Amino acid sequence: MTSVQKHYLTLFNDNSIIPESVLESEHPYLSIVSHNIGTSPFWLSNSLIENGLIGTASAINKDLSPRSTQDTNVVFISFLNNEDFYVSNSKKSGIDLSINSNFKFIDLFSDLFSNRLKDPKNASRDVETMFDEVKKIIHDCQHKKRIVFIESPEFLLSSTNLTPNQLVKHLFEINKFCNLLVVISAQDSPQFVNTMAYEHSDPSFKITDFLLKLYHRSNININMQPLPTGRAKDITGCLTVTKGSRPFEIPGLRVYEKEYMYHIGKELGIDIYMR
Amino acid sequence: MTKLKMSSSSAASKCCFIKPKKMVDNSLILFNRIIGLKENTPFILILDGFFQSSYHLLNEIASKNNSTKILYLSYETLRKPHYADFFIEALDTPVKTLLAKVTDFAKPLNEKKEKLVIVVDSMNYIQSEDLVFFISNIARPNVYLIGVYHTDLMQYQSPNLYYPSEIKLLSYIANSVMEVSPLPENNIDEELLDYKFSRLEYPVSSSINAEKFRLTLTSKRKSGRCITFRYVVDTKSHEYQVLRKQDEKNTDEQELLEDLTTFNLNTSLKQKLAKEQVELPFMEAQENLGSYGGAIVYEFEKDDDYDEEDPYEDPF
Repeated sequence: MTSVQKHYLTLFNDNSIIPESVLESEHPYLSIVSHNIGTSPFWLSNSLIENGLIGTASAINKDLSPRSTQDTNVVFISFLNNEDFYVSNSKKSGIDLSINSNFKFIDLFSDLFSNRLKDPKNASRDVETMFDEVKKIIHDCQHKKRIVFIESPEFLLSSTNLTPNQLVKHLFEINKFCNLLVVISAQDSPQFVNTMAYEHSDPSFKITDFLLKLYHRSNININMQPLPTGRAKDITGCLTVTKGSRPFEIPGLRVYEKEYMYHIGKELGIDIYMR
Repeated sequence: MTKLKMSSSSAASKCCFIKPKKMVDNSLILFNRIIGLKENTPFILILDGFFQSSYHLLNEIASKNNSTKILYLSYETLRKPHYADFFIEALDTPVKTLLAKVTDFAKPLNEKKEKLVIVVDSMNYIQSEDLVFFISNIARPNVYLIGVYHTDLMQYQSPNLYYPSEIKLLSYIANSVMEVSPLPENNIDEELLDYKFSRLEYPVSSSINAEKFRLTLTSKRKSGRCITFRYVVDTKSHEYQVLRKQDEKNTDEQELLEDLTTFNLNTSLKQKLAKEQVELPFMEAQENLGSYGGAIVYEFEKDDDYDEEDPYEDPF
């Protein structure tokens, strides 16, 4: 692989990752980052957070320069990791999220069942209260430009009686308060995604229905898969960037659709190659 | 293949032909009339899927009806589309409340006999038991309902086992059904798309969720007759082409023969024309001799060996 040319990751035709025009737009946009068990997207999430806050993405694109004004709020909601996980990982990119006033982390992982959801079999009310809190935090953000990440919301479908429509409604309401909502979701098939499932209470039925509804509204999709041909020492996985069902309603802005291969080396050195 | 070009500014009735034909294709006129809401189609059902969204088709219909008032019932759209005059958020709203809101908008226009288009961005969110109630209560003179239904979402079984599926019910009620799908591409076949869909992945392809797509129109006439046409719709240039089965078959054959051997098995357009112009001998024979219908005509040639004594050899 040493002879293959490395590339910088860009998601749009203007060579950007999160374009300024998206943050300035009145339309709320939706992005889906899907992954499998072997392709954790935490490095991409960190780069997207960095790009949202500062404008750079040092691990995946060294061409990007910092924004002149740091006027974007980034809110990260996670059902899978706590704040320390992202704070420690971002330090490797030279950013301390714990002291950045534009960054807010909402931990829905640590005390989800001990405090927030009293009865998972009858969770609709508690989930509504929980998302009301989240919406308030986003609404109270200082800046108008807002990016919200939500990691593994599908976890609520497999662990409670929440229906896909209820969860979709909460996410759409969150999306109304921000310029870009990034939904990070696992798509292992057939454990989580099974288009042939028919039992309504089956978690894979609920998760597939939920994801399909999101895909019908998404503007950009990023999919991360292990190497389809098997394991390789110098390749961690494949990353595919595709446009969503709805285009960005910004003149001239297009999703740069491409397939990449990537390798995560020591100290989070990420090499990206065109496929 | 007949092409018809419609400029975005012109009304649906104004059209110019890129390739003039002796007769304008009726199917194109029908398609133009349906999307221009000039046909009597109070309910148009649009079926879309994971690989081709109805977003561009809705924009195209709106551009053809820019002088008509459009009410957008949103289940999955967060902001009012640029072409909509009114916008109602319908997610999590009971059907009766929703209908009351629709009536508030429709009634004044109805009194003025003005046309109103109601767009429902996803009928999947309406419970199957409420679908008939919803559609029948929306229907009124001068109101056109355009409902989008995503065909690939998970199907919730009705508690009543004998109740029809949502898609069957909607297709039965609709006056016109438009199904959109991506245009076939060389590197992407049905099998790959099925595999990708089973894992909810998109292939990198310019034909997925594109502005140019394939559309199958099923139009129900008043007589009960049902006609189906297929088109290639380019919403960027506002050009529509009729897709005939023959065109598809020819393309498929060409694709099958491509790269099969080192020989060139394909026929060029010139070769095809030459082949069609060859006059086959039996056609000529029928013209000269077969004028009296049903008769078996045999014309002796000089080398024919005719045995007069053979009772079975009687050409007449």
